[in-house]
Amino acid sequence: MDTSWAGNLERQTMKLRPTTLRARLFLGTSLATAVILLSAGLLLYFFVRASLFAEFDMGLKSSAEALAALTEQVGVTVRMEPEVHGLIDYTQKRKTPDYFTTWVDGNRLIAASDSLAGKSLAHLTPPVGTSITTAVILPDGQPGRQTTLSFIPSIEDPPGKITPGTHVATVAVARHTKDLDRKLLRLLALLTGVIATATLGAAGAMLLVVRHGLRPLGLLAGRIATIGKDNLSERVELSDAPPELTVVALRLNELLDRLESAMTRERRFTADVAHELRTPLAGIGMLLDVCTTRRRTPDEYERTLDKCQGIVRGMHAMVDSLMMIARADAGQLPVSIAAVPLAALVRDCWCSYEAAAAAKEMTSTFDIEPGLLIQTDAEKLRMVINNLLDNAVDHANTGGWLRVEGRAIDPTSVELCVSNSGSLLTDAQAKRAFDRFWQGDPARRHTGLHCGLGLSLCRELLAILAGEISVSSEVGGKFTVRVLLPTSGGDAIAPTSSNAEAPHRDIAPAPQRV
Amino acid sequence: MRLLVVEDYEPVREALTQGLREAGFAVDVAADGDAGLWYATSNDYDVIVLDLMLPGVDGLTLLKRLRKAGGKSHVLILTAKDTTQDRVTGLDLGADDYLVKPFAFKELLARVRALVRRRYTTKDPLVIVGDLEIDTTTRTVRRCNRRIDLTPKEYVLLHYLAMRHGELVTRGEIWEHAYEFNSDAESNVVDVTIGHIRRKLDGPGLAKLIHTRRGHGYVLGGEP
Repeated sequence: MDTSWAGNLERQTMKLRPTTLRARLFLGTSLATAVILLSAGLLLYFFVRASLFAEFDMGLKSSAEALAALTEQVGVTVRMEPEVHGLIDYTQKRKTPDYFTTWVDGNRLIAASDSLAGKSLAHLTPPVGTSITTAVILPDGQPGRQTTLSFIPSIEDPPGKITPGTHVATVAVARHTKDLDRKLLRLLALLTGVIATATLGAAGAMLLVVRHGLRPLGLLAGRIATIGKDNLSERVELSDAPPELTVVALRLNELLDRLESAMTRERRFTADVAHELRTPLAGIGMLLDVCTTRRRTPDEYERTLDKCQGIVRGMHAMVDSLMMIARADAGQLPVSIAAVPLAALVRDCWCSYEAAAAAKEMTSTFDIEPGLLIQTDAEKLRMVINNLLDNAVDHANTGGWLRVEGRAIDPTSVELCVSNSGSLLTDAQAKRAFDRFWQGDPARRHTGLHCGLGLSLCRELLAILAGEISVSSEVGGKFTVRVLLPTSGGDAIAPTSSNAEAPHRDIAPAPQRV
Repeated sequence: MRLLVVEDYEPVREALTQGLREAGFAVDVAADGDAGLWYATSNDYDVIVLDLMLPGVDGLTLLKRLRKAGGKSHVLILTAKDTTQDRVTGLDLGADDYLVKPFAFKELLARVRALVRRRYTTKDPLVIVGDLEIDTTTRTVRRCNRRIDLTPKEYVLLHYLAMRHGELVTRGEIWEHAYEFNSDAESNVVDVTIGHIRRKLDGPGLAKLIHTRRGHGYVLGGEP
């Protein structure tokens, strides 16, 4: 019910908002179609208009030239042929007659058309031999065009008597543009109609095309919506999606893959944490439960409290490790790089484990190149080494051996190997040692101090130091942890540089037993 | 009554063992599955308290092998995993009861006592044999309303005889059900303890409760 309501809302907003893909596509394509059609229409209109006007003006000019041809100089006078007055175009008999006026030598009028009924056309004076055409208001108040031509009339008399070119005549012919205007108006109306219809048609078609084209998107959204919050194992169906959306769905499925595995990992981790905390809590609960079933001697109470304290210490160490891992994961551990003498650091760490090793009658060998300096974060490396020594001493057999080797394998990297005897793991099992809470030797579980986080933490810390860690277990019980570190810690700062200014307050400098 | 505790987490194992011993049971202890399986198949325990997550042979496998070998012990499984499937699997493999960690020791004790009663097909926590009354919940023994103080060992032995009252119980059976694996195996330790119990139970004017069948064993109550 809830989802359908949300779906409705979604659809509503999708229709209304101009920012929706559908609206954008529709508006964009429609607008573009309208603009293109309008431009084409206007272009066509103006082309036709110019052609018609040119044709009209050509007619006017021909008429003017015809009239000029009928103008002649006889003796010293310039006159027009008498038949001019009889030309049908210029009589008042026509509804929309043409007009003409002829002047000589400036503004001496020698002839005018009947249609003018005594009036005269506008007297323009273009240079001799040329004509100009202008839009004018005709004597009957209607719009029209007038061509004015200046020319030297032809001489009728025998040559020699008169000096040619002594007179300049101007003939003006005007004609109504009513027909032309009507034609243009009709064209305009036609074009407007065509453009409007075409635009509307295109818009309708676009609407259908866009709706149809975007339908797979809606389907995809619907399928994504069915992927449950708690069930990330479902995937978006790809078979019938168009290629563009197949890519989206593919990427989405990849994202879901990653998300699912991350969620699974996270859930397992949380379950592991819960289990690892529940076990010691059950221990404390049981100890107190049994202790309080009857009155006991102070010694008995003290023993119980001691045991509880031991368990609490173990839980503390585990929680500290978890915090450290979480912060390393989140890139929140600040790094401070300094020159660290490896041999001295290992010797320093060994102090904490010497007694335990002696108690197990172990033989320990240290073979670290003297003077080996590494640019790294001493405290983090110390935690790593503490973990490795602790594990080695703890997992070695009684009377077994422990060996620490350190050497530069090339000018840029240093190798540190911590090996011990007495491993019962196969190489494949050893590789799992980095899994959080994985405990290679189940018989040692619940000692209260080891919960299977050590190597996992080492790996996180070494990732910060741009180092690497690997383990191997050989037949005969030799278990080796190999750490590779860059001699210059330059790379190490990079991943956490954003946190470099954070204070160094939270790094526990004490050896971490995890 | 003799119990086996198979639990790898040392604090819980020690607390359970101590608590159960104080509650009047003979308790053997195993810290991993392999030892647990050996104990479980070597002795006829009344109840086995079995953790499921064990190093070596895990709890469910141990249970399966125990039942395959014909072990009749009642098994109470302890599980930290609060999943139905685990418990269902455990019960289907032949467990008799389960407890999810963390649990109260009192509850475990009550369940163990209930399993012991089931082993001897009785439901009443009060065992009455003639004028002898044993309250297995409070571990008090009375005869003719007179309270009798017994040592833990004596109580375990009497409890076992009372659960099988009227039946002939051999020394071997007594040894198997009332003594821990590490007990000092002197040949006459059962007879000596029986003697102590007799002295405490029997008084002037009271009939003998524990009868000796020479060469066979003992009978509590029943025919004189």
